[in-house]
Amino acid sequence: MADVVTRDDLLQLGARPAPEPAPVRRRWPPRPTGLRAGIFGVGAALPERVITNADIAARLDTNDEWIVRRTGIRERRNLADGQPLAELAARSCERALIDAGRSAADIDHVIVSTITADRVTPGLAPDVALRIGAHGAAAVDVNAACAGFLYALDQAAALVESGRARTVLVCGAEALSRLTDHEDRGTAILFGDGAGAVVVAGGEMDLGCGGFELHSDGAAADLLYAEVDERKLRMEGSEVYRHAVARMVEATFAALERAGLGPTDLDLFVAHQANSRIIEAAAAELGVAPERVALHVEHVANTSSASIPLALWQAERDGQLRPGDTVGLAAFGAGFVWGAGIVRWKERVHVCA
Amino acid sequence: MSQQIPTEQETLEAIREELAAIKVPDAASAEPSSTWSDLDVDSLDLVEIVKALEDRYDVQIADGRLKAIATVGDAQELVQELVREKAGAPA
Repeated sequence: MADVVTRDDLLQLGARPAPEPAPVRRRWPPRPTGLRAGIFGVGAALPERVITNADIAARLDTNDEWIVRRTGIRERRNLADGQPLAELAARSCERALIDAGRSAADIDHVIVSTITADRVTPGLAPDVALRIGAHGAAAVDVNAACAGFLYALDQAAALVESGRARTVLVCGAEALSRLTDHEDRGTAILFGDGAGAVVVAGGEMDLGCGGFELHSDGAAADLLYAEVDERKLRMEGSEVYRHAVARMVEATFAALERAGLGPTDLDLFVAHQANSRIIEAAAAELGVAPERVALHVEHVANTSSASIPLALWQAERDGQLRPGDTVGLAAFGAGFVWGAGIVRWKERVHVCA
Repeated sequence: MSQQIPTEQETLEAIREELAAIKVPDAASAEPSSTWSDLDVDSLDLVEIVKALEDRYDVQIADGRLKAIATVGDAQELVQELVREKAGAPA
Protein backbone atom coordinates (compact mmCIF):
# COMPACT_ATOMS: atom_id res chain seq x y z
CA MET A 1 0.00 0.00 0.00
CA ALA A 2 1.33 3.42 -0.98
CA ASP A 3 2.43 5.78 1.75
CA VAL A 4 1.12 8.87 0.01
CA VAL A 5 -2.57 9.12 -0.77
CA THR A 6 -2.98 10.59 -4.24
CA ARG A 7 -6.06 12.16 -5.74
CA ASP A 8 -6.50 9.02 -7.83
CA ASP A 9 -6.56 6.97 -4.67
CA LEU A 10 -9.28 9.19 -3.34
CA LEU A 11 -11.24 8.88 -6.53
CA GLN A 12 -11.12 5.12 -6.29
CA LEU A 13 -14.43 5.23 -4.60
CA GLY A 14 -14.40 1.48 -4.29
CA ALA A 15 -11.87 1.94 -1.54
CA ARG A 16 -14.04 4.40 0.36
CA PRO A 17 -15.18 3.13 3.69
CA ALA A 18 -18.78 3.25 4.78
CA PRO A 19 -19.87 6.58 6.27
CA GLU A 20 -17.94 7.40 9.38
CA PRO A 21 -17.54 10.67 11.26
CA ALA A 22 -16.16 13.36 8.93
CA PRO A 23 -12.84 14.93 9.89
CA VAL A 24 -13.38 18.06 11.91
CA ARG A 25 -11.55 20.75 10.01
CA ARG A 26 -12.16 23.72 12.23
CA ARG A 27 -13.57 24.74 15.54
CA TRP A 28 -15.16 28.11 15.61
CA PRO A 29 -14.41 30.53 18.41
CA PRO A 30 -17.24 31.14 20.90
CA ARG A 31 -19.98 33.31 19.45
CA PRO A 32 -19.79 36.89 20.65
CA THR A 33 -22.67 37.94 22.85
CA GLY A 34 -24.77 40.95 21.85
CA LEU A 35 -25.90 41.25 18.24
CA ARG A 36 -27.11 38.01 16.75
CA ALA A 37 -28.71 37.22 13.42
CA GLY A 38 -32.16 35.72 13.32
CA ILE A 39 -34.91 34.82 10.87
CA PHE A 40 -37.70 37.43 10.77
CA GLY A 41 -39.91 36.27 7.93
CA VAL A 42 -40.45 33.53 5.36
CA GLY A 43 -42.00 33.45 1.91
CA ALA A 44 -42.45 30.93 -0.87
CA ALA A 45 -43.57 30.70 -4.46
CA LEU A 46 -44.45 27.70 -6.60
CA PRO A 47 -45.09 27.50 -10.34
CA GLU A 48 -48.71 26.90 -11.34
CA ARG A 49 -48.06 23.86 -13.52
CA VAL A 50 -48.64 20.69 -11.43
CA ILE A 51 -47.14 17.39 -12.64
CA THR A 52 -48.82 14.47 -10.87
CA ASN A 53 -47.53 10.91 -10.64
CA ALA A 54 -50.32 9.96 -13.05
CA ASP A 55 -48.94 12.46 -15.58
CA ILE A 56 -45.55 10.72 -15.41
CA ALA A 57 -47.08 7.23 -15.44
CA ALA A 58 -48.82 8.16 -18.68
CA ARG A 59 -45.39 8.62 -20.32
CA LEU A 60 -43.08 6.21 -18.52
CA ASP A 61 -43.34 2.66 -17.17
CA THR A 62 -44.18 3.55 -13.56
CA ASN A 63 -47.23 4.13 -11.39
CA ASP A 64 -48.50 6.31 -8.55
CA GLU A 65 -48.39 3.57 -5.90
CA TRP A 66 -44.77 2.70 -6.72
CA ILE A 67 -43.61 6.33 -6.72
CA VAL A 68 -45.35 7.14 -3.43
CA ARG A 69 -44.00 4.05 -1.71
CA ARG A 70 -40.44 4.68 -2.94
CA THR A 71 -40.24 8.44 -2.53
CA GLY A 72 -43.28 9.83 -0.71
CA ILE A 73 -43.79 12.17 -3.69
CA ARG A 74 -47.30 12.67 -5.13
CA GLU A 75 -46.81 15.73 -7.30
CA ARG A 76 -44.26 18.36 -8.30
CA ARG A 77 -44.42 21.81 -9.89
CA ASN A 78 -42.70 22.88 -13.11
CA LEU A 79 -42.10 26.35 -14.48
CA ALA A 80 -43.99 27.17 -17.65
CA ASP A 81 -41.91 27.06 -20.85
CA GLY A 82 -39.88 30.24 -21.01
CA GLN A 83 -40.89 31.40 -17.51
CA PRO A 84 -37.86 32.91 -15.77
CA LEU A 85 -36.87 31.43 -12.40
CA ALA A 86 -36.04 34.96 -11.22
CA GLU A 87 -39.75 35.78 -11.34
CA LEU A 88 -40.53 32.93 -8.92
CA ALA A 89 -37.57 33.80 -6.71
CA ALA A 90 -38.64 37.46 -6.53
CA ARG A 91 -42.20 36.50 -5.58
CA SER A 92 -40.92 34.39 -2.67
CA CYS A 93 -38.70 37.28 -1.54
CA GLU A 94 -41.57 39.77 -1.65
CA ARG A 95 -43.69 37.46 0.51
CA ALA A 96 -40.82 37.02 2.98
CA LEU A 97 -40.47 40.80 3.25
CA ILE A 98 -44.18 41.22 3.96
CA ASP A 99 -44.02 38.41 6.56
CA ALA A 100 -41.06 40.14 8.22
CA GLY A 101 -42.71 43.56 8.15
CA ARG A 102 -39.82 44.97 6.11
CA SER A 103 -39.62 46.74 2.79
CA ALA A 104 -37.23 46.25 -0.09
CA ALA A 105 -35.52 49.49 0.92
CA ASP A 106 -34.33 47.75 4.13
CA ILE A 107 -32.47 45.09 2.17
CA ASP A 108 -28.77 45.72 1.70
CA HIS A 109 -27.76 42.21 0.59
CA VAL A 110 -29.50 39.54 -1.50
CA ILE A 111 -28.11 35.99 -1.52
CA VAL A 112 -29.74 33.53 -3.92
CA SER A 113 -28.84 29.87 -3.71
CA THR A 114 -29.36 28.13 -7.05
CA ILE A 115 -27.85 25.62 -9.46
CA THR A 116 -30.31 26.52 -12.24
CA ALA A 117 -30.01 30.26 -12.86
CA ASP A 118 -31.78 31.59 -15.95
CA ARG A 119 -28.45 32.26 -17.65
CA VAL A 120 -24.87 31.08 -17.16
CA THR A 121 -24.19 34.65 -16.18
CA PRO A 122 -25.47 36.96 -14.75
CA GLY A 123 -26.70 35.11 -11.71
CA LEU A 124 -30.24 35.29 -10.39
CA ALA A 125 -29.57 37.63 -7.48
CA PRO A 126 -29.19 40.95 -9.36
CA ASP A 127 -32.40 40.21 -11.29
CA VAL A 128 -34.20 39.35 -8.04
CA ALA A 129 -32.95 42.55 -6.38
CA LEU A 130 -34.24 44.55 -9.36
CA ARG A 131 -37.62 42.81 -9.44
CA ILE A 132 -38.30 43.37 -5.72
CA GLY A 133 -37.10 46.97 -5.79
CA ALA A 134 -33.94 46.53 -3.70
CA HIS A 135 -32.04 48.82 -6.03
CA GLY A 136 -28.33 48.94 -5.46
CA ALA A 137 -28.24 46.16 -2.88
CA ALA A 138 -25.36 43.70 -2.96
CA ALA A 139 -26.55 40.64 -4.88
CA VAL A 140 -24.80 37.30 -5.20
CA ASP A 141 -25.59 33.69 -6.17
CA VAL A 142 -24.18 30.79 -4.22
CA ASN A 143 -24.00 27.18 -5.36
CA ALA A 144 -23.80 24.49 -2.72
CA ALA A 145 -26.30 22.22 -4.49
CA CYS A 146 -29.06 20.92 -2.21
CA ALA A 147 -27.25 22.29 0.86
CA GLY A 148 -27.10 25.79 -0.68
CA PHE A 149 -29.78 27.34 1.51
CA LEU A 150 -27.88 26.43 4.69
CA TYR A 151 -24.63 27.83 3.29
CA ALA A 152 -26.40 31.03 2.24
CA LEU A 153 -28.14 31.36 5.59
CA ASP A 154 -24.83 30.91 7.40
CA GLN A 155 -23.24 33.62 5.23
CA ALA A 156 -26.16 35.97 5.81
CA ALA A 157 -25.92 35.44 9.57
CA ALA A 158 -22.18 36.15 9.43
CA LEU A 159 -22.75 39.38 7.46
CA VAL A 160 -25.31 40.59 9.96
CA GLU A 161 -23.39 39.57 13.07
CA SER A 162 -20.18 41.16 11.80
CA GLY A 163 -22.03 44.39 11.04
CA ARG A 164 -21.28 44.21 7.30
CA ALA A 165 -24.97 44.07 6.48
CA ARG A 166 -28.12 44.95 8.39
CA THR A 167 -30.88 43.09 6.59
CA VAL A 168 -30.22 40.19 4.21
CA LEU A 169 -32.61 38.30 1.98
CA VAL A 170 -31.70 34.62 1.62
CA CYS A 171 -33.51 32.87 -1.21
CA GLY A 172 -33.32 29.27 -2.45
CA ALA A 173 -34.65 29.16 -6.01
CA GLU A 174 -34.45 26.13 -8.27
CA ALA A 175 -35.84 24.86 -11.55
CA LEU A 176 -34.63 21.26 -11.38
CA SER A 177 -36.97 20.46 -14.28
CA ARG A 178 -34.19 22.02 -16.38
CA LEU A 179 -31.72 19.37 -15.17
CA THR A 180 -34.07 16.37 -15.13
CA ASP A 181 -33.83 13.45 -17.55
CA HIS A 182 -37.56 13.31 -18.25
CA GLU A 183 -37.17 9.95 -20.03
CA ASP A 184 -35.53 8.19 -17.06
CA ARG A 185 -38.20 6.73 -14.79
CA GLY A 186 -35.65 6.44 -11.97
CA THR A 187 -35.06 10.20 -11.72
CA ALA A 188 -37.89 11.90 -13.69
CA ILE A 189 -40.17 11.42 -10.69
CA LEU A 190 -37.84 13.01 -8.16
CA PHE A 191 -37.42 16.68 -9.01
CA GLY A 192 -39.49 19.85 -9.06
CA ASP A 193 -39.27 23.64 -9.22
CA GLY A 194 -39.88 26.20 -6.49
CA ALA A 195 -38.51 29.11 -4.49
CA GLY A 196 -38.45 30.05 -0.83
CA ALA A 197 -36.86 32.94 1.04
CA VAL A 198 -36.20 34.23 4.54
CA VAL A 199 -35.31 37.67 5.89
CA VAL A 200 -32.26 37.70 8.18
CA ALA A 201 -31.55 40.64 10.47
CA GLY A 202 -29.91 41.34 13.80
CA GLY A 203 -31.11 41.70 17.36
CA GLU A 204 -30.37 40.71 20.91
CA MET A 205 -31.33 37.05 20.90
CA ASP A 206 -30.60 33.94 22.89
CA LEU A 207 -30.02 31.73 19.86
CA GLY A 208 -31.08 33.34 16.56
CA CYS A 209 -29.21 31.50 13.79
CA GLY A 210 -26.87 29.59 16.07
CA GLY A 211 -24.98 26.35 15.85
CA PHE A 212 -24.12 25.89 12.16
CA GLU A 213 -21.98 22.99 10.95
CA LEU A 214 -21.00 22.93 7.27
CA HIS A 215 -18.75 20.39 5.56
CA SER A 216 -17.70 18.96 2.20
CA ASP A 217 -16.11 15.89 0.62
CA GLY A 218 -15.03 16.60 -2.96
CA ALA A 219 -13.85 13.02 -3.47
CA ALA A 220 -17.50 11.95 -3.74
CA ALA A 221 -18.27 14.26 -6.70
CA ASP A 222 -18.99 11.39 -9.11
CA LEU A 223 -21.79 9.96 -6.99
CA LEU A 224 -24.17 12.89 -7.64
CA TYR A 225 -23.63 15.38 -10.46
CA ALA A 226 -24.81 17.02 -13.67
CA GLU A 227 -22.32 17.67 -16.48
CA VAL A 228 -22.06 21.03 -18.22
CA ASP A 229 -22.89 19.61 -21.65
CA GLU A 230 -25.44 16.95 -20.76
CA ARG A 231 -27.21 18.99 -18.06
CA LYS A 232 -28.95 15.97 -16.51
CA LEU A 233 -28.78 15.01 -12.85
CA ARG A 234 -27.15 11.60 -12.35
CA MET A 235 -26.70 9.78 -9.08
CA GLU A 236 -25.76 6.54 -7.39
CA GLY A 237 -28.89 6.20 -5.29
CA SER A 238 -27.64 3.75 -2.68
CA GLU A 239 -24.44 5.63 -1.87
CA VAL A 240 -26.15 9.01 -1.83
CA TYR A 241 -28.86 7.71 0.47
CA ARG A 242 -26.55 6.20 3.05
CA HIS A 243 -24.19 9.20 3.05
CA ALA A 244 -27.08 11.67 3.18
CA VAL A 245 -28.57 10.07 6.26
CA ALA A 246 -25.25 9.56 8.06
CA ARG A 247 -23.93 13.07 7.34
CA MET A 248 -27.12 14.95 8.14
CA VAL A 249 -27.47 13.10 11.44
CA GLU A 250 -23.82 13.68 12.35
CA ALA A 251 -23.99 17.39 11.44
CA THR A 252 -27.25 17.89 13.34
CA PHE A 253 -25.80 16.34 16.49
CA ALA A 254 -22.74 18.61 16.14
CA ALA A 255 -24.87 21.71 15.53
CA LEU A 256 -27.03 20.87 18.55
CA GLU A 257 -23.92 20.49 20.66
CA ARG A 258 -22.66 23.86 19.44
CA ALA A 259 -25.97 25.42 20.45
CA GLY A 260 -25.84 23.68 23.83
CA LEU A 261 -28.99 21.68 23.03
CA GLY A 262 -30.07 18.08 22.47
CA PRO A 263 -32.43 16.38 19.99
CA THR A 264 -35.35 16.56 22.42
CA ASP A 265 -35.04 20.37 22.42
CA LEU A 266 -36.03 20.48 18.75
CA ASP A 267 -39.61 21.62 18.17
CA LEU A 268 -39.19 20.90 14.47
CA PHE A 269 -36.64 19.07 12.31
CA VAL A 270 -36.48 20.35 8.73
CA ALA A 271 -34.21 18.25 6.54
CA HIS A 272 -33.62 18.83 2.85
CA GLN A 273 -36.74 17.43 1.19
CA ALA A 274 -35.27 14.95 -1.26
CA ASN A 275 -37.23 11.87 -0.40
CA SER A 276 -39.45 11.04 2.57
CA ARG A 277 -37.41 7.94 3.39
CA ILE A 278 -34.17 9.90 3.84
CA ILE A 279 -35.94 12.37 6.12
CA GLU A 280 -37.64 9.66 8.17
CA ALA A 281 -34.43 7.65 8.51
CA ALA A 282 -32.46 10.71 9.65
CA ALA A 283 -35.16 11.75 12.13
CA ALA A 284 -35.31 8.23 13.56
CA GLU A 285 -31.53 8.15 14.06
CA LEU A 286 -31.64 11.55 15.74
CA GLY A 287 -34.48 10.45 17.97
CA VAL A 288 -36.87 13.18 16.79
CA ALA A 289 -40.54 12.16 17.04
CA PRO A 290 -42.41 11.93 13.68
CA GLU A 291 -44.81 14.76 14.58
CA ARG A 292 -41.79 17.08 14.89
CA VAL A 293 -40.54 16.34 11.39
CA ALA A 294 -41.38 18.59 8.42
CA LEU A 295 -42.49 16.58 5.38
CA HIS A 296 -43.26 18.68 2.33
CA VAL A 297 -41.76 16.47 -0.37
CA GLU A 298 -45.21 14.99 -1.11
CA HIS A 299 -46.38 18.15 -2.88
CA VAL A 300 -43.22 19.60 -4.42
CA ALA A 301 -40.70 16.72 -4.78
CA ASN A 302 -37.00 17.55 -4.47
CA THR A 303 -36.49 21.26 -5.12
CA SER A 304 -32.78 21.28 -4.16
CA SER A 305 -31.86 24.37 -2.14
CA ALA A 306 -35.41 25.73 -2.26
CA SER A 307 -36.66 22.77 -0.24
CA ILE A 308 -35.83 23.99 3.27
CA PRO A 309 -37.45 27.45 3.02
CA LEU A 310 -40.44 25.87 1.24
CA ALA A 311 -40.78 23.33 4.06
CA LEU A 312 -40.45 26.07 6.71
CA TRP A 313 -43.16 28.09 4.98
CA GLN A 314 -45.46 25.07 4.74
CA ALA A 315 -44.81 24.05 8.38
CA GLU A 316 -45.77 27.53 9.57
CA ARG A 317 -48.94 27.51 7.47
CA ASP A 318 -49.84 24.09 8.91
CA GLY A 319 -49.36 25.33 12.49
CA GLN A 320 -46.41 22.97 12.95
CA LEU A 321 -43.99 25.89 13.40
CA ARG A 322 -44.52 28.88 15.70
CA PRO A 323 -42.44 31.91 16.71
CA GLY A 324 -39.94 30.96 19.39
CA ASP A 325 -39.67 27.32 18.26
CA THR A 326 -36.23 25.73 18.12
CA VAL A 327 -35.70 24.33 14.64
CA GLY A 328 -33.04 21.91 13.39
CA LEU A 329 -32.14 22.38 9.72
CA ALA A 330 -30.10 19.77 7.84
CA ALA A 331 -29.13 19.34 4.20
CA PHE A 332 -26.97 17.19 1.97
CA GLY A 333 -26.13 17.58 -1.70
CA ALA A 334 -23.81 17.15 -4.65
CA GLY A 335 -20.18 17.71 -3.77
CA PHE A 336 -20.71 16.12 -1.42
CA VAL A 337 -21.60 19.14 0.69
CA TRP A 338 -23.71 18.97 3.80
CA GLY A 339 -24.53 20.82 6.94
CA ALA A 340 -26.91 21.51 9.75
CA GLY A 341 -28.00 24.56 11.70
CA ILE A 342 -30.08 25.24 14.77
CA VAL A 343 -32.25 28.35 14.60
CA ARG A 344 -34.89 29.89 16.82
CA TRP A 345 -37.85 30.70 14.65
CA LYS A 346 -38.65 34.44 14.52
CA GLU A 347 -37.08 34.97 17.91
CA ARG A 348 -37.69 38.55 18.99
CA VAL A 349 -35.97 39.84 22.09
CA HIS A 350 -34.65 43.25 21.17
CA VAL A 351 -34.59 44.04 17.48
CA CYS A 352 -31.67 46.17 16.28
CA ALA A 353 -32.24 46.41 12.53
CA MET B 1 -13.68 -13.37 22.29
CA SER B 2 -13.81 -13.67 18.53
CA GLN B 3 -17.14 -13.59 16.75
CA GLN B 4 -18.64 -16.85 15.46
CA ILE B 5 -18.71 -17.01 11.67
CA PRO B 6 -22.41 -17.20 10.80
CA THR B 7 -23.52 -20.18 8.75
CA GLU B 8 -25.19 -19.79 5.37
CA GLN B 9 -28.54 -20.68 6.89
CA GLU B 10 -28.07 -18.07 9.63
CA THR B 11 -27.27 -15.28 7.20
CA LEU B 12 -30.22 -16.29 5.02
CA GLU B 13 -32.53 -16.14 8.04
CA ALA B 14 -31.02 -12.78 9.02
CA ILE B 15 -31.63 -11.33 5.56
CA ARG B 16 -35.20 -12.68 5.52
CA GLU B 17 -35.81 -11.01 8.89
CA GLU B 18 -34.40 -7.70 7.66
CA LEU B 19 -36.45 -7.90 4.46
CA ALA B 20 -39.55 -8.52 6.58
CA ALA B 21 -38.61 -5.54 8.78
CA ILE B 22 -38.81 -3.22 5.77
CA LYS B 23 -42.06 -4.90 4.67
CA VAL B 24 -40.84 -6.74 1.59
CA PRO B 25 -43.85 -8.95 0.71
CA ASP B 26 -41.87 -12.09 -0.26
CA ALA B 27 -39.32 -11.82 2.57
CA ALA B 28 -39.96 -15.32 3.93
CA SER B 29 -39.43 -17.01 0.59
CA ALA B 30 -36.19 -15.17 -0.31
CA GLU B 31 -33.51 -17.61 -1.50
CA PRO B 32 -29.78 -17.06 -2.15
CA SER B 33 -30.55 -16.92 -5.88
CA SER B 34 -33.24 -14.22 -5.44
CA THR B 35 -32.26 -10.92 -7.05
CA TRP B 36 -33.33 -7.60 -5.54
CA SER B 37 -35.56 -6.96 -8.51
CA ASP B 38 -37.25 -10.38 -7.93
CA LEU B 39 -38.00 -9.16 -4.42
CA ASP B 40 -38.90 -5.63 -5.56
CA VAL B 41 -36.10 -4.24 -3.39
CA ASP B 42 -34.90 -0.84 -4.63
CA SER B 43 -31.58 0.92 -4.05
CA LEU B 44 -32.81 2.59 -0.86
CA ASP B 45 -34.21 -0.67 0.53
CA LEU B 46 -30.82 -2.25 -0.16
CA VAL B 47 -29.09 0.43 1.92
CA GLU B 48 -31.49 -0.25 4.78
CA ILE B 49 -30.78 -4.00 4.60
CA VAL B 50 -27.03 -3.37 4.40
CA LYS B 51 -27.18 -1.05 7.41
CA ALA B 52 -29.15 -3.61 9.40
CA LEU B 53 -26.62 -6.33 8.52
CA GLU B 54 -23.74 -4.02 9.46
CA ASP B 55 -25.32 -3.43 12.86
CA ARG B 56 -26.22 -7.08 13.38
CA TYR B 57 -22.74 -8.42 12.56
CA ASP B 58 -20.73 -5.34 13.57
CA VAL B 59 -19.03 -5.03 10.18
CA GLN B 60 -18.61 -2.15 7.69
CA ILE B 61 -19.67 -2.60 4.08
CA ALA B 62 -17.81 -0.08 1.88
CA ASP B 63 -19.64 2.02 -0.73
CA GLY B 64 -17.79 0.33 -3.58
CA ARG B 65 -19.17 -3.05 -2.62
CA LEU B 66 -22.82 -2.02 -2.66
CA LYS B 67 -23.17 -2.36 -6.42
CA ALA B 68 -21.79 -5.90 -6.44
CA ILE B 69 -24.59 -7.05 -4.14
CA ALA B 70 -27.14 -8.13 -6.72
CA THR B 71 -28.67 -11.16 -4.99
CA VAL B 72 -29.44 -12.40 -1.49
CA GLY B 73 -26.54 -14.84 -1.93
CA ASP B 74 -24.13 -11.97 -2.69
CA ALA B 75 -25.10 -10.30 0.57
CA GLN B 76 -24.67 -13.58 2.49
CA GLU B 77 -21.21 -14.15 1.04
CA LEU B 78 -20.10 -10.59 1.75
CA VAL B 79 -21.28 -10.73 5.35
CA GLN B 80 -19.50 -14.04 5.91
CA GLU B 81 -16.33 -12.72 4.30
CA LEU B 82 -16.34 -9.56 6.45
CA VAL B 83 -17.02 -11.42 9.68
CA ARG B 84 -14.24 -13.89 8.79
CA GLU B 85 -11.84 -11.00 8.07
CA LYS B 86 -12.74 -9.37 11.35
CA ALA B 87 -12.22 -12.58 13.28
CA GLY B 88 -8.80 -12.90 11.62
CA ALA B 89 -9.55 -16.45 10.52
CA PRO B 90 -8.12 -17.78 7.25
CA ALA B 91 -10.54 -17.56 4.37
